[in-house]
Amino acid sequence: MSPFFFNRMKRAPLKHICAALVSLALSALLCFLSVYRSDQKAKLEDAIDNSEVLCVVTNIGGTQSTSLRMGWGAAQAVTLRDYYRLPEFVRDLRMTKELEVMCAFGSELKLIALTSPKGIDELDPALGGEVTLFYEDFYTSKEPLLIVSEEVFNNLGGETAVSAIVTDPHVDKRYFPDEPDKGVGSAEFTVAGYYKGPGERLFMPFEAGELIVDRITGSRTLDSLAFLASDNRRLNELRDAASDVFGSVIPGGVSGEYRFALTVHDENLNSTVEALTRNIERTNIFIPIALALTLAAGLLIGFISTRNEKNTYALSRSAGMTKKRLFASAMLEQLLLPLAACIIAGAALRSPLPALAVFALYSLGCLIAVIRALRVSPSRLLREQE
Amino acid sequence: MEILTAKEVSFSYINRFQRVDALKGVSCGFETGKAYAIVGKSGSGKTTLLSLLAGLETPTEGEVLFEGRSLSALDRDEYRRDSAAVIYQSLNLFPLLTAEENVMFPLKLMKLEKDEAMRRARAALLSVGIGEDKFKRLPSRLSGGEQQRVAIARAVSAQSRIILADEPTGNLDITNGNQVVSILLRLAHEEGRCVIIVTHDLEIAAQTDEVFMMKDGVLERGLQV
Repeated sequence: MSPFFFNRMKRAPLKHICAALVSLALSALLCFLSVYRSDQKAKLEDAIDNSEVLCVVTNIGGTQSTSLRMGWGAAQAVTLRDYYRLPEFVRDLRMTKELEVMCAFGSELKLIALTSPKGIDELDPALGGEVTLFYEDFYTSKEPLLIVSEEVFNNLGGETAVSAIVTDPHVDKRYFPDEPDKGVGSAEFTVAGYYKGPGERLFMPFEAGELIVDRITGSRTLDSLAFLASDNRRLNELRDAASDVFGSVIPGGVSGEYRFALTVHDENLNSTVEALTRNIERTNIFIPIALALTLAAGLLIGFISTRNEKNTYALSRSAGMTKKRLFASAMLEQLLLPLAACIIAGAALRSPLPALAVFALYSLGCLIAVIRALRVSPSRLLREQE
Repeated sequence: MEILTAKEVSFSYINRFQRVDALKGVSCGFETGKAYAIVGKSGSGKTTLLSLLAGLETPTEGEVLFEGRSLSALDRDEYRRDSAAVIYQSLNLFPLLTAEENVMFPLKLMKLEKDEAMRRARAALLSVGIGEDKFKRLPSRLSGGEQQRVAIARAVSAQSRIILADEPTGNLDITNGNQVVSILLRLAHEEGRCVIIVTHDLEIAAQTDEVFMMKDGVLERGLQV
């Protein structure tokens, strides 16, 4: 360090304060950009990993997703891993079967057998539904349990056993002229809970409903099928696997090969990913610009601040100060406050690496300026004077 | 005995446009206890010779000897720090250091204790006529003559045996110029230092013990008007 180093700094505070402020601003800018990019990347990862991409089976025209009366093969296509590719991409499977019941508290009541409350207004808390259940594993039960409306539950006065006639409304009786009772049968239910409000729809576990359907129709069918994609990074693979079983929606609704289509609702995910990717790409452009600005600032401030120091450097050399010591002293003078500024910015924004990068580039700019200033020898200055 | 000797010293440098042969086979010797003047026109090479004598440049040919040893074999930073002080026409002082700190600068480089450095600096300042009231002044608050005397005080305090002064009175009025010259002559004659003054002023040259004339890079002994 040069003798009276701090005295000299103290007596010309403006240039050092300016250098520190510029370093602080650039560090803060780069830290912000870096933090912002990390944040956007994290959001992108989060969006891809945790967005719910709903895949819904519809008729081939895409106009209907309930009352589809699909064969049991559709259910097997999303569950049998040994035979189909699609199950690998399925999570949170939602299947329903629609039935009609006639019982003590009403006739032609809608009975829906379901695997999950999701998407059902009365049952799904996300849609405002509120359910009181007496069985924890209602949706996976094979017992003929019922969820009724609060109103019906109150009218039952504590009675939980319900006898009913169950009808599969999708059985076309014209095909079974010799079986007038095809698709009709009796069943004993146990009330297992109620949903808030009046409402006429009844709900039962999917498996239990299918056992009844199998008994009264001789086969299993389902009326809606939806699921969430298990891996949002493999949606194209999912589409490919789905094409083994389902078609794509054809406006107009005619397909020689498929009766049903699978629609992957990834529009929200795509728009989110697109927006976040755009932000990341913009930041990727701004960061090098900020780094280039830092280098330029180091050069500019270095040149300005050493421009009037050439005589001081020459005088120091002629007083016997070694080149190394003079260089170290000049660099320290240029970088002491900017270093402090970068440390402050890095610590405040908890982003030390960008602050370090700013300091490194700023130092490089100053280094070039200081080397340039120190190249002027005292004798050259004297010659210029002469 | 000669403390400083130039032996067949030549020096060339490249300026923006061409190669300049600033010195051509210059030989001369300087003794302690004497004041010397080097006179010559601008661009004649006298400042270049001063730089070579100060060890700020290396001769292209020939050598500069300090006490019989070639400067190129010595640590030239140490040589300037301990033995040879340079006084310029202007820009002599560190603008952000006080007069006292300017004088202490080489002493700090010599790693003297702060108290000792301050004692020597103050004594040197007083010896060149700078009063205590000006010790803490920055150069911008000193007159040209005072600045030059502070520069001399720096050479005095460092106890440099060789003082190389380049146009030390160039920016001064006659009174201040005379003061500075008399101090330099006193340092040579009373304190036994070797003082080499580069000057245009023939009156100053006439006060020295020996005069060299520099013309187109060639040094001749004696004054030829």
